[in-house]
Amino acid sequence: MSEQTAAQVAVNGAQPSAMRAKAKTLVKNAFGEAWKAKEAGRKICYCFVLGPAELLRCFDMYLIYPEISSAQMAAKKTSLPYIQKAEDYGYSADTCSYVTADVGLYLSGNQHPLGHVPPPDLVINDTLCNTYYKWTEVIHDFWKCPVFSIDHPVRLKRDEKYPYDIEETYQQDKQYVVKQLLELIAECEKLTGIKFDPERFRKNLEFGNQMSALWCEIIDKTRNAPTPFDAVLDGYGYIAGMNTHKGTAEGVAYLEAVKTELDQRIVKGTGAVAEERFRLLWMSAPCYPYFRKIPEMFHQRGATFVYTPQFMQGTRGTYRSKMYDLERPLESYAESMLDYFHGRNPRQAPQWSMGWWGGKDDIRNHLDLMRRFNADGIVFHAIKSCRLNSGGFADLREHLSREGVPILMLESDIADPRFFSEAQVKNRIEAFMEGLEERKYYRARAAV
Amino acid sequence: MTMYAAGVDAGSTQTKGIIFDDQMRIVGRGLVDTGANTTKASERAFQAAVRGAGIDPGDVKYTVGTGYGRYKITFGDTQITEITCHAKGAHFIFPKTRTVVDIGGQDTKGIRVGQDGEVADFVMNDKCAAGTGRFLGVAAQVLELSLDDLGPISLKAQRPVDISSTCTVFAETEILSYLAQKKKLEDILMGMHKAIAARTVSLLQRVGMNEELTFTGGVSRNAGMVVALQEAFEMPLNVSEESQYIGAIGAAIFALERAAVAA
Repeated sequence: MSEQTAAQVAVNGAQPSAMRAKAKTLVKNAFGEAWKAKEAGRKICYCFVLGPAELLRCFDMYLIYPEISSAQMAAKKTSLPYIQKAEDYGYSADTCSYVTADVGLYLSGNQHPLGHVPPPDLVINDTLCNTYYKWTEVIHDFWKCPVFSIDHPVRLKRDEKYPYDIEETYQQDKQYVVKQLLELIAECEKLTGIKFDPERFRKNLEFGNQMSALWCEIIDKTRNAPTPFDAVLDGYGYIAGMNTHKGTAEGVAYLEAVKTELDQRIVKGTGAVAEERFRLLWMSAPCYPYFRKIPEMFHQRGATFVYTPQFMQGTRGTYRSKMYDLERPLESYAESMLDYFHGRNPRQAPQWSMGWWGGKDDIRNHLDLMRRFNADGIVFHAIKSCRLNSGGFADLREHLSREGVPILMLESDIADPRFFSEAQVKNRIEAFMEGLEERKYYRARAAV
Repeated sequence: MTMYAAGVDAGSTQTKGIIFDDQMRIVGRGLVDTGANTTKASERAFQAAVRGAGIDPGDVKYTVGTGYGRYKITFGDTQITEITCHAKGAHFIFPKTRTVVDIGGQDTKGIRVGQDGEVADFVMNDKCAAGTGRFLGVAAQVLELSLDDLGPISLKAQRPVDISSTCTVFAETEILSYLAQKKKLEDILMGMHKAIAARTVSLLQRVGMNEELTFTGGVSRNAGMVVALQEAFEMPLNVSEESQYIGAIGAAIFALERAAVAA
């Protein structure tokens, strides 16, 4: 048993998921092999985790994911010098710390803790996150490489403010996205000299469908008591392993292995913590600089995380109940992009992708999740350098609190360790857990 | 034989000790400055409370530590956060308490309290000491006053100034600027109190301000702050003589409960 694993057992009193460790290896290899791919003549494409990986793989391009790159720097506790380099260069501490860590990486000759990252031959921007626009401009400025932007229109629900025919506009939007995908194909053919093979694309989407089906099964396993994995500590590991291998046989094999491990844990009754006393939902991305520390503060008190909407959001909604239609791959791919955005699309099943804006649907979705995963409370993690993500938390907290949901608000950051204060976070977590304990006690007493 | 239990609240500025007997009566109190050594301060506060109760330290069956320094209270049997202890203590003194506002040396807390004194929800200031007791500390330092003088002087204010800065450090500059304009000391001080009250209201609104509202923590001894808060909240405020001990009282009640379970 490695030293790290031994420490993990000591804190949790439970056996850690082997597939979380496997995810680390997968991500490490994805970075480690990048330079070899470049030397072998493959084109390097920087593509965000929400980008069209299955399509890009048809051109033998080697994909680098800037968010995963920054999250890995943070998880390895090396992000701060990179962020400071970007700040010395003129970036504000309020900028998304994924971006500043990435800029710091470029300013450091692309020397990443997981290996030397080759510069891009192409960057894909898409409109699924506002920051991507500026981030790709920055990448373009640094590396003088072409940027291809994909625009996904977002539709609000049909009401008095949006009185148009939803189906008609949806079809128009879809044709708009398909047209952009065709342009992207032409660009990629020109760049790589490889002709688009529809059969290969179909195959990649088939892998995507298999991964989607497996992922849906995996994230439902936390409904077991005890949950076989922790949604934050293990779940984000699985996401990293999956996102670096979207649309590949390796990705399918990885998720199959995750599923097998979890099934075995369920049979043996192995939980994410030794004695599961409380089940919680985690809202938002984790604090990567203290990736283990925060969940472990909960584990010490018998609390574990059973769901995070990032299971759907962080995987671009390709991983949801709706599969790609292999008879019309491009159209179906375009639909997956349109259907992604935070449950705002009227055609989308809300529980698969939800927002944190504090609207009525969001409140109902949170309450549904509480029931579905038999949860005892919700932890909102406000990200200091991503207000887009945390803007609706205050409203949600107020509404959900009125419904009697115990809520804890934590604030730190996805990559900047300076926004984490251990004493403050620990105090809040302990007070929240004491509240849950008291609640349980008084409820039990009232029941007698 | 009477059973005793203790609560020790190691705060950032002061450390408080309370002894309860098994009839839920406060029989001893201790109050010392925390200083640099929290463990020693906790021991001194505990010893003072024990002496006040006229008992031996060995008579105390269970001790609960609370406050930021709770893990430094080496002689304690267990630790509970000050959030939970303030709710419990406030409920003990004012049983109809539904909201607790605690202004301490470096943080301000709003706590929603259930009918049994349990914490239903809470909010705290994050990573910034604006609107906390520290704000008053800065004012006292700049104006060369003792902390105890601030409240009484501020109550004489006729035309309180506006302190617009939300930063404790920059507030100093604002005070100096008002002094240069020859504004009255009491008006500047009430301005400070009002600035803290305004921040406290917005913090408390996040947990909901339900009656009764109980004001706890060291700053609750400041009469100027009580007035400023009452005006800002537009509702009456419970303030006890024991208010700065409320965290320690809550801790002592938990200690008594646990001692009873152990017995």
